[in-house]
Amino acid sequence: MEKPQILVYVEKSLNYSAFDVKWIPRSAKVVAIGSHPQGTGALQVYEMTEGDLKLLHDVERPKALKCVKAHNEIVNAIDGIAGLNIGKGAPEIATGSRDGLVKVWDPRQKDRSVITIEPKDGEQRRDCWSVAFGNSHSNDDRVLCAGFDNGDVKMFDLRSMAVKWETNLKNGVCSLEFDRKDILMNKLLTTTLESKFFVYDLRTFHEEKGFAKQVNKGHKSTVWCGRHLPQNREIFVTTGGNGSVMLWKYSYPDSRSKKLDDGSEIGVVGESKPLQNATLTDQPITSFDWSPDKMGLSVCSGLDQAIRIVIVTKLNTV
Amino acid sequence: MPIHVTDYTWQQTSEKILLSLDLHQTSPKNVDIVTTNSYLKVSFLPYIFEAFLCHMINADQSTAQIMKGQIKFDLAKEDHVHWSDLCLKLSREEMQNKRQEAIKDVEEQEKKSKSKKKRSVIAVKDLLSLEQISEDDKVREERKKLIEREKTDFLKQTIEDDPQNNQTQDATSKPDIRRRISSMCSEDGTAVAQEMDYDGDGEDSIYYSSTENLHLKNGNVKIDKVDNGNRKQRKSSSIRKAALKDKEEKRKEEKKKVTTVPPVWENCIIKVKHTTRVFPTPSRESTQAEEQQWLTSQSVHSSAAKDFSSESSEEHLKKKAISLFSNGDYRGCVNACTEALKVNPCMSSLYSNRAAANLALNNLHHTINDCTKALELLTPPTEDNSKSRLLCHIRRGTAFVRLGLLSEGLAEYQAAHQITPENKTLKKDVEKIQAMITTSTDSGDSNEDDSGCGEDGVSVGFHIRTRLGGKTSYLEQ
Repeated sequence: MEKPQILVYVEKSLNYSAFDVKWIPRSAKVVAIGSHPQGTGALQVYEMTEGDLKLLHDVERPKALKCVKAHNEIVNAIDGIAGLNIGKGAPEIATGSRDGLVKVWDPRQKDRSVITIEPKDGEQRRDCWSVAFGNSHSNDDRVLCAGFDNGDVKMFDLRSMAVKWETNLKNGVCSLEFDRKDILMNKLLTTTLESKFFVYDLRTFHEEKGFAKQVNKGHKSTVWCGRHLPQNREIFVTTGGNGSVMLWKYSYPDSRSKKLDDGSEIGVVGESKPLQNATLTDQPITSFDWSPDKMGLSVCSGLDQAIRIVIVTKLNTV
Repeated sequence: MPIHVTDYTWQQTSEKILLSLDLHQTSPKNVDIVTTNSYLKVSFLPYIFEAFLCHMINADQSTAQIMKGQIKFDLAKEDHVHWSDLCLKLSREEMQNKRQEAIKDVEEQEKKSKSKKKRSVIAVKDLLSLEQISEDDKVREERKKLIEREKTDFLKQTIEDDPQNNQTQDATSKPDIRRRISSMCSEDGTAVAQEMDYDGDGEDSIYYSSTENLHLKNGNVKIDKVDNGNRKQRKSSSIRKAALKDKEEKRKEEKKKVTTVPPVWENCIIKVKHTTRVFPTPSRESTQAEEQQWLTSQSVHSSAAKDFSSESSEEHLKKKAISLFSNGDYRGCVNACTEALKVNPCMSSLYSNRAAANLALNNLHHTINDCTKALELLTPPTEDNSKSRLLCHIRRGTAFVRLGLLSEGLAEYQAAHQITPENKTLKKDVEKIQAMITTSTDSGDSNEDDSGCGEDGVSVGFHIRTRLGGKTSYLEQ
């Protein structure tokens, strides 16, 4: 038992499908949101007590809980940054939707989005499946990445309001995450269909070739979600459509950039090594969240209508 | 019949009977012994020795030995009784009975021993499997215990990981982790976002979680963990100290500043262009090949369809034909109808129109042929196609008459008349033709030549032509 172990601590069966679970910081509580079979929205708060999850708060609404009409169709992805005075810059929320638009919202302007990212007139619209903020190391700098169902990954520099980089991964992009949102952008973890995920080294940008990337295969099914450990950004977890959770460790190469013949610099990406693999269920695990307070404590939920508190041990020895 | 042996010698002790037989030079292989506890039989063909013992013996404890051409029995007495004699002297029947009894006994004994063996074998197997199960259980228990221990250890760490006990963390952590203290954050919670040392030479990286800010209450130093595996060089401690100093200064500066949040963006729009994808479904590598195939086959079909485009060009041609006829271009009309027929050879109206054009051109044979084809297509005769049939009949009739085939022409007109009996002009035409026939037969000029129709015939033909010209110029739309 020298390797880190992925162990289920508590498993709680729900009567609805949970789409996302998140820890409430500085507490042992988790929030789960989803929808009941009859179509009503559900929001529940659970607390970890004595080896079980106790329901603290239960909300059911006839339709989705909403404050503002953000999109015309279902909002597939949401990400927030700089809230609660953490990090730099204005607090913002980004949403990505099936109507192909990516919108950025500022809580100070409640009715309209502050930035809209949309296809050019007459161009095809693709479902946006995931969004992620990053590079927010100063008040002005910020980058937003969006992943689409046709495999497009687009990075927008919000300082210059332009597309900074785009690429196509041939498979729909299920999830995007920068390893840290509030530092100079370092790594981007992209998970896609067809059991692939990509790690991009974002330190060196080449004008033509973009960022260096590393391809990895895992789970033998769609990789639904990839999440970095808050306490160590080289460790991340990926969850799969076959109900498995894999723990990976990224190691940097000897030199992070190299010079090409024409004098330009191109990034060199390292490699990800799998540390552990555990199958928790037979349905896809669609969301995973590390606890920011305790290293290794995490919560995940899947299409099997259950949420699980998962412990990953020995991460401090990795 | 085996020979009974009677030359045997026997002795007894209080516990045993010692019996010896002469084997008469039979090899030991051929000696067969049957014993029960009151019967003894030794058969070594062609000899046999049989003894109905006086008293009981313990067959299990008795032994037999073959040596020097003799067989020696060591029979254990059941009861320690002095035997007056070895064998009983019994009558034949009694002997038979006893033999049968003995045989039965032997069989029973064999059965018993077999079942005993079986039971013992099963018992052994059961024992083995039970052992295996218990071993597996043990292993499982151990594993469970390990997992439980891991969990409890993990949860215990919560107390030790309390960020308030920053200094004590060193003590509780494992010795093989190298730790480095660095000042990281300021009071208001904004993290020092810039990374300190990372420059690609394998140096330690400071990672920091913005959410960890929440734990900091008084801006204490925070202990960072360091990536074990990748270190190759270490910056000298002096440089690090200098860097730390810089950080301290920065922090102080920041404390003085009031951090301002940037203003709200002014309704900005970024336009993007996606990689084109024909299908609305998400893109997958595994389906790429199939999709490409489908797309290429679709393009092939669409290009083929352009040449073909049956319905539209056919109608176009038909319209053209009609317009050409009305303009007087009968040849053109015929050609157009022919083209249209190439596309759709089953349209009766095309034949009918072509017939009209041919009639106008005086191509009488062609007219007749076209009318015939049109009428074929117009079977079965119904209300709907009566008009069409009417036209065909009239045209054919006209053609016949012009050809001089008056009787056929008459038949046609009569058929036409049948379709529309109320049409007076038709009736008159019928009568005229009948008159023509009678006159031609009267004049004896039964010439069926095209041109030779007699002045009357020709004039009649013309007459009919002009008469019916109006009608035949009516083309089917």
